[in-house]
Amino acid sequence: MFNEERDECKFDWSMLGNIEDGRPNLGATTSVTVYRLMQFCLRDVLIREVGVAKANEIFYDAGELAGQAFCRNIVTKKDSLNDYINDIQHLLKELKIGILKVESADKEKLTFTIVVAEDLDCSGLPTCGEEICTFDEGFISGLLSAFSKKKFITKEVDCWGSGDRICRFEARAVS
Amino acid sequence: MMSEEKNIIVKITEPIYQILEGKTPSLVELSEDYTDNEVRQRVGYINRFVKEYNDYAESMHSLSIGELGMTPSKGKMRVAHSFKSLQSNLRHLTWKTQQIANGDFNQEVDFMGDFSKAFNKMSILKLIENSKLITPLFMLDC
Repeated sequence: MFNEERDECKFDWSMLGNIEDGRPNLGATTSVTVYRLMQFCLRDVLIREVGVAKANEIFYDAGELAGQAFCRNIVTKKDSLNDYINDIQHLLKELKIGILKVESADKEKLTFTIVVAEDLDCSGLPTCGEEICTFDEGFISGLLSAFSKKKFITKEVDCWGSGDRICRFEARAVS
Repeated sequence: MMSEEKNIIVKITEPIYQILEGKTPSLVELSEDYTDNEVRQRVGYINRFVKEYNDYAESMHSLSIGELGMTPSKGKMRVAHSFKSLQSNLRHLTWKTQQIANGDFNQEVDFMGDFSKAFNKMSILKLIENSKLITPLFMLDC
C-alpha cells in the first residue's frame, strides 16, 4: 500500500485509517507547526534531489490528487456550483485549512479567482519574495476538476510569501 | 549649517509636508552628479516611499468609489497588505451579494466582524422572506 512501486497513483481515502481508533487520547488534530515541519522538510529534500521545477510539479500533482479525493470523500453538496463552493468554504474552515473566499466565478468560461486567508501553508511566514503554495494550487485544481469533470490549471498570483496577506489563486478549465 | 545641507533638508522634508497637508507628494530630485553617499541613499528611500504612497492613495480612492478592479503595485508596507486584504474582502462580499441577487440565499460570510454579522443576518432574513412567499403559492396549488 505505501511502499509499492507504481506508475499510477494508488491513494485511497481509506488509507487514512481510523484515527479515532488509533489516537483515543491525542485525538484527530495537531498543530500547523507539525504540518509545516513535514511539508517544508519534504520540499527541501525534494528540491535537493530533483530540482525546484520537478519538486513543484510533484507538490502540485499531490495537491490535485488530494483535492479530488477531498471532493469524493468529504464534500457532500454537489448539486450546484454555489452549494459546492459553500460546502468547501465550510469544510476548509472546520478543518482549519484556510478561510476560502471567492472573488469571481465565471460559470460559463469556468474561470475562478479564489482567495484563501490564513492559509495553512504560508500564513505568518517571513516575506521571501516567492509564491509558495504549490500544493494548494493543485488542491484547488483537484476540487474544481472533481466537480466539473474538466481539467483545471490553477496559479497562485498573490501569497503571504510574496508579501501579501492573502493567497489569491487564478483557476481556469483547460479541457 | 552649509546652504547645500539646508537645501537637501528642505527637499527631503517637502514630500512629508505635502502628504501631511493632503497634497500629492513629488519626488525628491538630486542632480545627476550628486555624490553617491548616505544622502543619496536616503533620498532613494524617500522617493520609493513617495511612489508607493501615491500608488496606494490612488488605489484607496478607487476603492472608496466602489471600483474594485485595480491592481496596486506590490509593496511591503503594512498599509499595502491591509489594502489588498480589504480589496479582497470587498470583492468577496460583492460576489456573495451577486449570488443572493441571483436567488441563492444560502450564503454566509465569515471572519469579517460587523460585515459578517450584518450580511449573515440579511441572508437569513432573505431566506425566511423567500420561504414565506413560496408557502402561499404552494397552498394555492393544492
